[in-house]
Amino acid sequence: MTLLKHIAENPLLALRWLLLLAMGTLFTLANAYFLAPGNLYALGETFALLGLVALGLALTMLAGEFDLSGGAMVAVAGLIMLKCGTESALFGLLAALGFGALVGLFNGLVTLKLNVSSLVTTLGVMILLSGFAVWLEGGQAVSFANYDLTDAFNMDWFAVLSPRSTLTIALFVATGLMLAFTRMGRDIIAAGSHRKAATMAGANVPGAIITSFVLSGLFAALAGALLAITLGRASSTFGANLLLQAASAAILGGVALSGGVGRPFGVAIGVLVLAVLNNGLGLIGASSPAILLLNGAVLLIAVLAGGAPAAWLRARLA
Amino acid sequence: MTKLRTTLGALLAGSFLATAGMAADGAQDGKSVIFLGADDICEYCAVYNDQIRKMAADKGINLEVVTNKFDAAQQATQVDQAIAKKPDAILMWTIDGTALFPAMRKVQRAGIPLLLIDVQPDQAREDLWVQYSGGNYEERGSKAAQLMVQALDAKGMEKTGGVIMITGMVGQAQTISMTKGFTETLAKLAPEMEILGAQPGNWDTGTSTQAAAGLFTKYGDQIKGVYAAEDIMMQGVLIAAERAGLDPTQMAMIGDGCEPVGIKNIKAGLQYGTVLQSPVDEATFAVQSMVDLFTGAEMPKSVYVPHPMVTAENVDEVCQPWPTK
Repeated sequence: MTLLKHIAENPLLALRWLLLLAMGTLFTLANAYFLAPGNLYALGETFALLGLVALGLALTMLAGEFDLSGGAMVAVAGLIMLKCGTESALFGLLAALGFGALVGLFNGLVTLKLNVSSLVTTLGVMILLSGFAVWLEGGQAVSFANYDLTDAFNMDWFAVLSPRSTLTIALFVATGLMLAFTRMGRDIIAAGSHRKAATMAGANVPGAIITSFVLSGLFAALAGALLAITLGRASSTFGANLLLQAASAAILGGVALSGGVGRPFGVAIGVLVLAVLNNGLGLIGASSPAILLLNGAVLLIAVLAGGAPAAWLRARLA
Repeated sequence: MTKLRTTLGALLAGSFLATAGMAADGAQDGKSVIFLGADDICEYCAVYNDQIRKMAADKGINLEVVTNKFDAAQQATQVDQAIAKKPDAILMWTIDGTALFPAMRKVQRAGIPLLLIDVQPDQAREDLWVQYSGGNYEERGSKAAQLMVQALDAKGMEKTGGVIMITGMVGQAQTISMTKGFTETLAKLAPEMEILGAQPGNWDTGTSTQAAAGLFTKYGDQIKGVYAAEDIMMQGVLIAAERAGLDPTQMAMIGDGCEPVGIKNIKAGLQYGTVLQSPVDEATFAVQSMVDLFTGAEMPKSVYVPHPMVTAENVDEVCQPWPTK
């Protein structure tokens, strides 16, 4: 009964665990290679790219805002990384991260100071970034000749982890700790829960909103820079499909569109659900339409389960 | 009279199959190959995937088809996935020649033979794959420029004035190569012609219609020729021209692909020409590449499908309807 009550209180939490478990079991039964180290490594790579963008987006959602510019930032940051990193990869990485943080700061300031909806602000920035990426690319293939670094980022640890996936996991943990144990973390959640009450209670709401946008820009830029290093190539087309997937992962992970609800751990599970679904379907040779349909179905189930069915379950168990 | 297409096919088969005939016949039976394809929604991709499945099955090869949505990052993770399954070979429709180099290095380290199709990466790294078979995008762009000059001659127009281009997706290797081939050849053959503008049509009729509409509004009567990197994009150009009140028969309209809509427009006189890219030819070459690998035949590093220029005169001979399921 306690378990049922817990499930009723957190229907999405239960559902995403159930989905993850069910999919893992099904794909393992359908294809013995699902649990092969190489496949788990591939799963980690998908988690690393999508996870960083979803984590950043989730932070802005937690603060009651929304950052649409993450996907386009992946493309731009990759291009900056390779364009500025020809002599020093570290300089390229810092340039990409600095640009990501600056764009995040701009998003936050415009949203706050001009009192513009973050959806509108970041939509404009997304379009600007897409154009900037095409300009940076200049109609040429932008590639990276530092194969030693590329190889280093493509190495495996314990057969299943890559530097990228390890770093992403570490950032999920660090963000979780920041939200749980720092004042800024609590302010971000408060800003998204009830902004007026949070302000009256002394929370640094403007600081929280700007911090969430800066972190979102940073995480997306890091995802783009790491992708560029891993592939040895950057392109204005990279990241084009990431935003919708990131939003899906955040919602699946229990982050409320209204703000204030959700945690990085849940987002990680949301990302894993999508990563496992796409990985498993690819492994069993499902067609693109089937993969798209199932992605939509999973999101729909998760969202619907958080509404009337969850309320019904709560009422029955009250 | 033997049709040109048949002759091409015979020549191809003759040269390409000759080496295979000397090797161990049937050695490919039961071999497992993972085909890391592109999309399976685009019409060309769907026909290609369908054909390669049938042809591989006929040769006794267990072909597993994995697709993505033209996403290089996803294909890189699919390579990890494929290596984990330890197939006898990996066949890859390279979404992005450069971005897949690290993944190709992993395949090489895993000791799995790699065959490439569709997009040929930088040949300086050809130690990473056994063979590339398929098209030559730069050559296709070059052929389109030759067709444009031919069209201007045929229409009695001077080789001066402006040209607009509707390209594929910006940043894609195919787009870069086709644009390079077209612009370099046009500059050689018609140095007084000027590329007025280029817009991405993203391999899509709707996007191309909008892109062409903007260019027609801006440049209007200055435009003497339009190069669309795919026939379905030329269809969008023709729609935009009609809306802008421009007569496409008074311009050199060049597409690419010998696609059904291109054939229709060439026959209607709305499009002067196209360049052959056949999913059937390319699938045939890819399957032959697999057979050669397993039979131990001699394998040159690159084998190209032919890209003949097509006009109303030879459209029926060269452009064959794409097979349906």
